[in-house]
Amino acid sequence: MAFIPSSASGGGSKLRKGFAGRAQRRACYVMWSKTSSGDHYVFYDENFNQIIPAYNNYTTRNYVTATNVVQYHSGTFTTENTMGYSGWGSSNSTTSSGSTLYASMFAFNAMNGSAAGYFYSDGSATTSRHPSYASDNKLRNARMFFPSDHANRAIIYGIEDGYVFARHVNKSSREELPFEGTKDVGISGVSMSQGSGMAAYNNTRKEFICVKLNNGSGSFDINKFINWDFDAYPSPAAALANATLDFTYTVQHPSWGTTDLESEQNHKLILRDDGQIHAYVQHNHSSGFRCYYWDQPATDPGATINTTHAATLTNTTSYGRDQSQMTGQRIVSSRDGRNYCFMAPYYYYYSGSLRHFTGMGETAVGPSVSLSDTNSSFGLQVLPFRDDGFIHWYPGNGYASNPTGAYLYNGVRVGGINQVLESNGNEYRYLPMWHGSNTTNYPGMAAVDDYRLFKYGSGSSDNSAYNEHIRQG
Amino acid sequence: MTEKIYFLDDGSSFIADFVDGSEPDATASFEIKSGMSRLANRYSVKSGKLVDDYPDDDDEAVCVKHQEAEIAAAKKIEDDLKKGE
Repeated sequence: MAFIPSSASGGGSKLRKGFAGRAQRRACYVMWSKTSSGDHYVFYDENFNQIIPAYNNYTTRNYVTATNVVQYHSGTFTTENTMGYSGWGSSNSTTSSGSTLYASMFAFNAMNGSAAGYFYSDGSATTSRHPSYASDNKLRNARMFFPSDHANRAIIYGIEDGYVFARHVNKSSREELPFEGTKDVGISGVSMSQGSGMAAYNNTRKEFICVKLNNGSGSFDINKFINWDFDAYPSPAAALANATLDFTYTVQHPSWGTTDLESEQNHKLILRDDGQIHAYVQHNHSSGFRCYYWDQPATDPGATINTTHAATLTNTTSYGRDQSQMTGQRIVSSRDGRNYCFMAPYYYYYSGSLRHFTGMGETAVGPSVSLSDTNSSFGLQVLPFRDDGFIHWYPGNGYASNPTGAYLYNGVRVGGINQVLESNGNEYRYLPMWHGSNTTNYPGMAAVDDYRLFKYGSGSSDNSAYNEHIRQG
Repeated sequence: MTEKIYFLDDGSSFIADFVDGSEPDATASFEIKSGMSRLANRYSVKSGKLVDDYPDDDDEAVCVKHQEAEIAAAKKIEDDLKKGE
């Protein structure tokens, strides 16, 4: 997808402005921490400059006239339970080998922003509570989204149980209403009763692929659709109606590790411009986080395609979809939808993190960057950064009096001779403003839910729409 | 398959098998041979050689020790800050 400058008379005028200062600087990231004095969130701009802190249940009334985040600091109006944080562990500790949710878990940020709730660029926030999934619904939904570089970045696409759905990024969960004018659609024959996110769309190729059937032992049937156009037909139902199922073919992945729900029904795909397809598979119980790849066949191969094993990042005892609907692999997209991070835990449910990065425009085989965080206390977090890259949040012990304990580092962005994603391990950024608990704390960092509606500016306060296709927000 | 442990210049290390593709830039790398633990957390490089820092512990015990060290480090920071008040 080519970069399309925003239009002053187009979608940009309908986007909400940022909230801080005379320049109406918008937020791009939010730090979240659960402390003894309530849940705290602090918003940062696109370069991690602090904007406005907001402390639920906290004793100070500073900033109440400057931000609409939390006007009331009495528990009468909002408490941790109101936002749904009662099930989360206090941020003065870490997840380690447990399944309790913490701000410092690797899965705190994903394709759909923060697992803790909905946070927006204008400083507003709300709970993601669902009666069936408590406050964990965004964490659960994070497994459903698939790579797609469609133009309207207000839409996020997911697939679960064979149903493709389009949601607004501001309300991204499958349980929310469809994006205006779109309809969910079931793909006939897709037998994945518990399958999540096993699909990929490429806007250059106008092709959509999805796993149709699990044959067992690393063998899968893949549906190849052609003339699938999410720009012409943003509605999944319309896109399917105007596409053609070219054929279904079978792949066999070599060196298949553990066979379970995580590997068979929660692995992720990406379809590159050159037709190479990657499958990223989290094999639990020390079998590693693997990448397999193959070329999209132009014609029905008529026989099983034996894929190539590109790389394996080793893990420890680690858990996925089998343990709960909240656990397992998930992805993070760059703002432009062209580059992706596929990530899985290193240790048990949420500690450490294994990451493979690749982009739709790349041509080398396999992932261009593979990294491991082997921490057994907490898990490194991946954030989108600028328009086409990423940066990591090290969710260590960070607070105002210990400001180097948690930090941003290791950017992953396009560069070098081959213009592919590169890891910049010695890049560091420290923060000027922290949560209100000035003692041991492991805060999480996430992108705001509407991160990809706005393009990266000149370092201050660009409120322009990412591209002219964005007309809602 | 050839698994190696890679030590990067940012101080991190991990074990991976890059079957078909380029290996990462690393300050040092060593093959993980059959029978060796595949827990990166237990290894370091000393005098150019790969050393198991926890020869008497199994992998889970090593991870628990790292968790305990994290808690102890956090407490030390708190204590040091209180002394400075």
